[in-house]
Amino acid sequence: MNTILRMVSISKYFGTLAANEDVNLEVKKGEIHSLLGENGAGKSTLMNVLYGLYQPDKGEIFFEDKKLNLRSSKDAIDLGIGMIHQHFMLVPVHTVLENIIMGMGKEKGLVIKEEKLKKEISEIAKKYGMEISLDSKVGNLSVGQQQRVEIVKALYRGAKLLIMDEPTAVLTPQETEELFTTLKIMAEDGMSIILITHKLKEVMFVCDRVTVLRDGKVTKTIDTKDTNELELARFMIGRELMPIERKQEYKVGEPILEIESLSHEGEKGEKSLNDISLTVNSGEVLGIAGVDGNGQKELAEVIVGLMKASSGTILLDGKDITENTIEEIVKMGVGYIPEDRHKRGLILDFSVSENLILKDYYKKPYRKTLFFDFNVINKHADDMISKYSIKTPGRHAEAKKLSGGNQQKVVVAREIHKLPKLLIAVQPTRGVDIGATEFIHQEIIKAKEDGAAVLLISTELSEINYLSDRIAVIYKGGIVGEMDKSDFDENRIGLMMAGAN
Amino acid sequence: MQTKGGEMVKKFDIFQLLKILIPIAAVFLALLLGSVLLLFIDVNPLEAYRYLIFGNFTNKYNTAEIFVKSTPIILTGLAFTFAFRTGLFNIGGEGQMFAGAMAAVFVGLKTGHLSPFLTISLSLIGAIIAGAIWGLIPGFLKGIFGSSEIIVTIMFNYVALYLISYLVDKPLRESIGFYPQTDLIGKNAFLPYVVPNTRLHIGFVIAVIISIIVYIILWKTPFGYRLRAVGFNPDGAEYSGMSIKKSIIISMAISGALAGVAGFTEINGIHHRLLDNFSKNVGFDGIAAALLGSANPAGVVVSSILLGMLQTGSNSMQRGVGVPANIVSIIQAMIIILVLAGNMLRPKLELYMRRKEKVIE
Repeated sequence: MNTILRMVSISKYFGTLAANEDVNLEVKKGEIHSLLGENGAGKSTLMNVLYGLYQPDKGEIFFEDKKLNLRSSKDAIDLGIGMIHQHFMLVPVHTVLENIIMGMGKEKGLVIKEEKLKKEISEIAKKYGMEISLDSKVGNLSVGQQQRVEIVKALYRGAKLLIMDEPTAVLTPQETEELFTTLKIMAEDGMSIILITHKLKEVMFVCDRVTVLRDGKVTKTIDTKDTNELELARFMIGRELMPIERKQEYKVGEPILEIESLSHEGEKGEKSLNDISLTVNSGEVLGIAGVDGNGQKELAEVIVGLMKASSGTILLDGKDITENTIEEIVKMGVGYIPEDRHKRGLILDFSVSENLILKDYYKKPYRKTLFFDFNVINKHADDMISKYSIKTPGRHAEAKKLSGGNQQKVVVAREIHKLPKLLIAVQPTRGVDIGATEFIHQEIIKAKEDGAAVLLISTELSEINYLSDRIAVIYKGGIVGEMDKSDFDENRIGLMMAGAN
Repeated sequence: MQTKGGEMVKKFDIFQLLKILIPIAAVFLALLLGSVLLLFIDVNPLEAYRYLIFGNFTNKYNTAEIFVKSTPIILTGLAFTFAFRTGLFNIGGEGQMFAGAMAAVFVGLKTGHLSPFLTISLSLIGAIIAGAIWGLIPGFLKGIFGSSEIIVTIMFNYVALYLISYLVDKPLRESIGFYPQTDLIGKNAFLPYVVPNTRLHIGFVIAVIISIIVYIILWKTPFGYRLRAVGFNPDGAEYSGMSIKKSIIISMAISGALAGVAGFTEINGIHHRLLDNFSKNVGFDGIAAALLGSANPAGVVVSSILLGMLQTGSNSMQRGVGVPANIVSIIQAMIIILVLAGNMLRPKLELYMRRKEKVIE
């Protein structure tokens, strides 16, 4: 096989941060090459350099043995480099056909020759085993179908190298499998694919070679057949993964959170939660699996009082809290790790120590009469920083100066250290590095073992599987199934996530 | 990313310095641009600026006048700062000051016969309450209905302004009935002078003390913490169980009260009666001082004194080289524009500096 792409000692700096430093990447014709690394390892930066969105500070790119000087993504597209972003770049109100031909300018004359185009496009789709209906509106398609439209769009534009940024993040397990089949056919046909991911299983399953990035540098390039998941994890995080310690025995106690036929209507009257009934007991983790945007955020926000339920009841420890405001529910000591730490979980301009008292700022001992007692606040901050190993220049550093993982640790520390009766964790490890993920998982297990009822809402099936004692699946605002951990079956859950019961 | 703690602290200081350097650079740049204007009208800028800056210090009276002018600016500046820290733009400092002034005059007229301590305290309290109400109403409308506090406070400026015009024209017109102004308030309600033979009254001291109190409230108490949290990130504040509505309403009321005190110092310290168009634009000068002082009480005091200096200096410049005093308004406006421009550029500047360090490494 000959080489289609060579990136030679690419460096890219943002301020003092080296997003990429001396990165070499070589992709062969007809191979699926994985770019593996944690969040913030520099994968996206490297690909944006390749796609012409960033100019590298140093280094050279060779595509089909020609040196490239990309000034915009248009240059890249013209050369045959396609990129499929995590968030699709489609116009929902247009049809599939319109989206695919949009902006190509291939058409001569005033009238679009629809039939001819349709034939061409259908042929491409069929060739790679993808079924798409060209006349549907993109807005009516499922996420998996939309992704197929993106792929066909890139192929129709003559892509020889396709970059896919975390393509499976939004897919159900079944859709993921279909995608991988398509990718394999494409590779056999001589296309090259770069798969950006942090999921080791996928790398081993579908890729021929893998390049691992850590802290902006390449730690290893290796054939997948010569390696295994454990070794890749080591290249990726620089050490072994530690298994979580679990107590062998713990007791499931009284029901803490009881939700009875809960519904919620959005501003336009659409039902975002539909007749949900759930119970979470003390000492157990109930995991809610589901594809993003199926009512997870609404469920959490209705429970804590940020949104109002339109019908149904919520009992906390036997007490009806359906009508209570967020202020009252916070005072009851419900721990809540929100989905979006920048918007909700932190005041980014406040210091770490200020953020650690966000819910208790008015309480003693942080307050002496009318004023803060900074000795207590500082000591509390130092305790939390060491106990939860938060990496920060100091307790007075603004939260926005911390890395994502450490910001999340601040939130987790604040919500967990008081041993809440109920802990709601929504996407607790989104955008967090593996080290911090391990730590946060450990803390959630600990909270459970200390008797908290934990409602874990996550789109990462592996996270749900790892932490939960019971699993429920949410789809279009309703619970479509519930099972014990012992019945965990990825296939079945995957089907439920797609709406099949 | 890989920087050690020690280095981080050092860099942090450079960027802190940048915060202070930008307003200073803005002042000098504005003076430089102003000198171009002066050249157009054939005036030697150096000579004009000599009068502008040093003309004040020729005698005790003029020097004291700097602080007389800056007193109400400090207070309206603090008013803007307080609301700004809660994420609100209170453009109504002027109207809230007028409201405070009306109350101070009313109390001064009615209780001027009481002991100085009593009548002055009552005037101050009256001004605080009136200013607070003038801030509370827009705050209430914002908190409950989400109306723009900017628009409502601007409108309230006019309401207060014309209310004064009406009061001094009809119900409170002086007993002789000659000028559209009220009678003098009772002698006992006059603020005592701090420096003899000048107009410098104790109001300046009050303003400085209040600026310290504002600092303590905002940065040393749970109450101020809540307001700043709402100001920085209302979603985050809501999530942690703080009431945004309550915070907005209270903050606007306190902001109005601070501006109301400016009305009190102007009436009881300077004019001793209510008259049409008194202390015009002081509310807006306060906004300028707050922006120039990066919405920080100490910064507000310093920049208010600077603005006071420019405004008194402009008179001596007019006398000395015949330049219209209004040129200072132009310079003042340019300072504000340049400070805002500088603040917008600061993130880019910081990035550039950081990158440079990297290259040097």
